Amino acid sequence: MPDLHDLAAPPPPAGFRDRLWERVAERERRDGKRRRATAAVVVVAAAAALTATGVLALGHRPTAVMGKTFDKTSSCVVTYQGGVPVFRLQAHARYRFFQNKQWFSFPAVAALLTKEGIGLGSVGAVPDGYSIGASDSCTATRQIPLSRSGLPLEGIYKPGEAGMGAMDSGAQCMVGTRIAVRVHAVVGPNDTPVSGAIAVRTGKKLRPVVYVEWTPNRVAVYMSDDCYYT
Amino acid sequence: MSEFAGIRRDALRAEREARAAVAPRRRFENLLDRHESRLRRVAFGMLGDAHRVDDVLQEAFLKAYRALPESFENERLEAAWLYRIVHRCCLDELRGRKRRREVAGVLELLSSEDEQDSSLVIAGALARLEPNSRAVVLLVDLIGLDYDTAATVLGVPRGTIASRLHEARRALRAVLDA
Repeated sequence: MPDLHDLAAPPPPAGFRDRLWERVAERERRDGKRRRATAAVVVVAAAAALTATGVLALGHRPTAVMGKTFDKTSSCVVTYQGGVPVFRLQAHARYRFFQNKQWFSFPAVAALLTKEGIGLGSVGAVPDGYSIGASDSCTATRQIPLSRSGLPLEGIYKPGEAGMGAMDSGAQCMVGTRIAVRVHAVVGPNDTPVSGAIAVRTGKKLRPVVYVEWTPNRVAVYMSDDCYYT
Repeated sequence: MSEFAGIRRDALRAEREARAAVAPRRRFENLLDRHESRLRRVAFGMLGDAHRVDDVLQEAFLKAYRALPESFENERLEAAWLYRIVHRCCLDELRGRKRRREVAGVLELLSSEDEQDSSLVIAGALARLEPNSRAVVLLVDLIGLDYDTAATVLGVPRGTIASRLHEARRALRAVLDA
């Protein structure tokens, strides 16, 4: 009787790895060309916008703030990274470090980003520092619960600690093609958030993936096994 | 003096850039050295077509290299990440094959003479299972991943792995006994 362990794959053909590295180089060349072409288009479009209106809008302002609280839920398409839909999570309190005779400061932030750096939702200790689904791939959806929902605690970050994403690329979460994101922010003077939370769910059953409790001085991150912090 | 400092700075930067370009490739080669043979068996078991295994693995490795994280928290996550990419590429290939209305390779090739080759017999039996069942039996029973890692690879809860595995083992046994 044949056994599963009898399954023998064909050996790799000669030059398999060489062909792989050739394809990598070719793809990188093609990407470089595309990036340069995109940059040229962006420069032309920005110049046209400046000429036409004299205004160049930067950043994303939330569409509505309910009194002193911002609370919205969006459903966003997650872009693929290496064949898997992946988003990144950055979460840290105030952090600064000294290098080359100068100080570099990071404000306290909790943010979800695609691999292209497009924001899916964020809360940060800066004026207008709250947003959700700025990209076209996000649409408003039914509210999801704002709770940790049994997610294990990954870490609590306080001022002076690099946390996630201040000095690295943050955590990465492998999810379904869509995620539901809820951003809740209590906004203080100068339209600057003083506390907030972000919840992320995915899949048909909207299983919890990430929950972040955020204040400028304390950021607690809860995340599922779908996420890993590098 | 400042000129020498500038040359030295440029040389250091060039060295740093060269090292940064080589380091991911070396890391990825190392990753493949550890996992490639097992990934090849999973891909062959999933596809049942020796001719397509290399193309699918090339595509999967290309995607993996381009998304290679700086580091992994542990080896379990490293394996899960790589297996998941290969698994998704195999599913893409199977979906494309279905669209093109192609017959699964091993079923097409399997003749009575090949029945002596137990590897082909197993591949033929696996080809008769659903892709989900095939994946779980390959990852857990053939490769030896634990339930949690297999759940991460397939993006399903741990309990689903257990039930799918039970069903897949039963179906595989039935096909082999027939």
